Amino acid sequence: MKKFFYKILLFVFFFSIIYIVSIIVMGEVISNPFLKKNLNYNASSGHSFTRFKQVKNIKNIDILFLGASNAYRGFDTRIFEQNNYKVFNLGSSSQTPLQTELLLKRYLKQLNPKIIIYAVNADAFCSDGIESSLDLISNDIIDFEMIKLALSQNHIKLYNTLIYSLYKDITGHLQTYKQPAIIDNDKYIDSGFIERENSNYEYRNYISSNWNFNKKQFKAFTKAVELIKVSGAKLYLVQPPIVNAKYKSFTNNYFFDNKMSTYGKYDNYNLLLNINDTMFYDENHLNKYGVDIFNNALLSRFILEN
Amino acid sequence: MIFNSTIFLLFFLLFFSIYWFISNKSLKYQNIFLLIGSYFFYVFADWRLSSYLIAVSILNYFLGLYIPKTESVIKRKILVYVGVLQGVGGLVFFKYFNFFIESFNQFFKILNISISIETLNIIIPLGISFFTFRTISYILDVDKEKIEPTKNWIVFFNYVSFFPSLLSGPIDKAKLLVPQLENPRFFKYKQASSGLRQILWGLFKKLVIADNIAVFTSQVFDNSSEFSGVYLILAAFMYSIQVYTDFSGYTDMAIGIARLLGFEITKNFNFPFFAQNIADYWRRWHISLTSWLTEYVFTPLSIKFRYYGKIGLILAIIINFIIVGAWHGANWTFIVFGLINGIYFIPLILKNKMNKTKKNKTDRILPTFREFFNIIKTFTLITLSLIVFRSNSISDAYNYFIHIFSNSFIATPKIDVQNNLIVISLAMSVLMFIVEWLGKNQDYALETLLEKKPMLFRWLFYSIIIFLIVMYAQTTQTAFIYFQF
Repeated sequence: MKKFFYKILLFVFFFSIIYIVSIIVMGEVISNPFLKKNLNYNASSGHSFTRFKQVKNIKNIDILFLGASNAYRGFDTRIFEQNNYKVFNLGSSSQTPLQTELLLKRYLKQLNPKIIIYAVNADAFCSDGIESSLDLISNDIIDFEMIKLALSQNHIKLYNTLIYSLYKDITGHLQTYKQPAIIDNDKYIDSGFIERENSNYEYRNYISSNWNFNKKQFKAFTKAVELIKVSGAKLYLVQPPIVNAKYKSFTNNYFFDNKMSTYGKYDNYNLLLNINDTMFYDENHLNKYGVDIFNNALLSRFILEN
Repeated sequence: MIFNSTIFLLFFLLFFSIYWFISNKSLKYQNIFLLIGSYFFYVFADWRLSSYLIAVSILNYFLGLYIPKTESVIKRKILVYVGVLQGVGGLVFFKYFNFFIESFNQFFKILNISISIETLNIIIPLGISFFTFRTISYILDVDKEKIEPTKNWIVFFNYVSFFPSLLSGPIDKAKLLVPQLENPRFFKYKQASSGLRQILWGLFKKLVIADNIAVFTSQVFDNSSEFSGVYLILAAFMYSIQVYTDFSGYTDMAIGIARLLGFEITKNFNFPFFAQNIADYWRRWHISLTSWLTEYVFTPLSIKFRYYGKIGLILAIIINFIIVGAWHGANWTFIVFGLINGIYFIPLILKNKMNKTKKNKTDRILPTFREFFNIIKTFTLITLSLIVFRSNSISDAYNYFIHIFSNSFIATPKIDVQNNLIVISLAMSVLMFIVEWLGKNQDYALETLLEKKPMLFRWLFYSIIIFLIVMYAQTTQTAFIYFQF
């Protein structure tokens, strides 16, 4: 028995070295993402690297935006700046409350916002949050909280990416890498917004279905709201619009609306705006024209009230 | 709680530690602990019908005790029938009751007679097909005096519910498992390390090959009209590999886990895709089921039909294979799958080749052309029958075959297909077949394949396998195909 355990420990040590070296080699040598299926470094779009680099130098703002892609593509920081607000958009790819909680722990004190506009969409509350964690691991610092989050999500992609990302951190990638401001059709605007040129969504049919919510996300959301309350910032929960046919295809939207209302001031812009398909470039995201309408409606409804 | 889950890993680490360090002081305590572990495992998987498992164990334990003591032939027969009927009756009720009702309704609908009998909302006890076959073989073996019944109820309950093989087999016979439960077990380094190797190989097959293939085959089989002929053929062959890697992967893990606990359980696969003909294939596939049916169904039937010569043998084979098919579940597709495989035997019976085992030549690294041709032929025949097995209904299976020829042969599919998964699964399948070919004369591929190689080489090989799992495993947890049976 002793020999068995001794050999196992030795093998675990041996394998750990092989594993770490292989992850680094795969990450460095193989460029085709298909061939490194469970290593998703820098997998997502959304200029997260630039945004997280920039946020470290920003302090004391008026409005902080949080949420997934519909936050960083939906809240045009320039519109708010024109109204004399100092703002920052900390939305990130597929951000779910699990990652929002982590980002708040990391940046809330430093940003010290007066108002937080949090884009809540039912989709994020159904997600396992893996994609967004991969985005944070790849594009921001690895700290104890990040490791804790990866352990709580317990997913092989997170572990592999965490190891490779740690290697990149150690070798100075965060300091030296410069992300282009324009990637494909996305243009990064200072303060975190991503502009997409006007293009239009093509209509399709949706099958009626239900949102299947993940309890873990509501738990994390409660903690995130607590952190905001403790900071003294005003919280405004906003559900940005998605294409009408998709929104209406979900039969339990009312549940989500009711639930969100219990956390504070909440508005569902799927119901408040007169939405049509010309406002979107895909089923989840507003185009430039749609963003203007949405942001102006939001400004007149809430910001001007304050 | 499936073997490839974190929760099972935690459960097994704790169980293994207590099993060898605390409860090994006495066989009785070790067996009690094993029983607690098995029931915990079962209840954790699905608690709702755990009482059925207990009731079956109690009934068969007492039947086993009373059958040898009963001198009256009639009374003894009644006791045997009670055991067998309970097993078969339980299977029929839980697995096939609704199927019979639906088929009955359907039959009268075809005749334009309006009869509609309501189906029942039946929960099927997990692993029922596996533990039922164990209890039936126990009762029959006790009756035929092939084994002595065990007087120790803890041993018997462990035999029925032994957790490594409770949910998907192998179906161990009492003469193999009961003596191991009755005698002290000692930790053996060689046995335990062999167990770990087998678990590793099973994990590779399940997580890297079966689960990745499943994404593609599910898409194709569920939407066959949307795919071109070449995709349908590819998916059919890949499904054969999926079923093999899924089920043999599970079995490798089950046998490996049993070895870590000091048990040797039934070998269930003998590299079936290297079989030279259909008879050879079925001697290598799901061995514990086929040998069970050979002993308790096929042999008695062929004795009964012996006066009819080859026709009798064909009849016995067809019945046997219909049972093989029906064992998998209540659907006509399984029955037709069994029937097709039974029909495959007819040429072999007519040519007196059914019992001839063609062994692959061991001194050659590569198969001869003839061996290779036979292997491909057998693999293709099995694949054709598995199209029916995988389809949701006979009409779906029919459409699948039709679409191979009616759809455009090489057109791009209308549905998004993850081509990377196809490439990864095919590459890993090739790797698996090479390793299995090299290790085909052993119990499992990695058993002694690297025995004579230096430790560094062996460890490097195992590390590569683990790394492949870590890098290419399908991250969505998929249940084992044979759990549903």
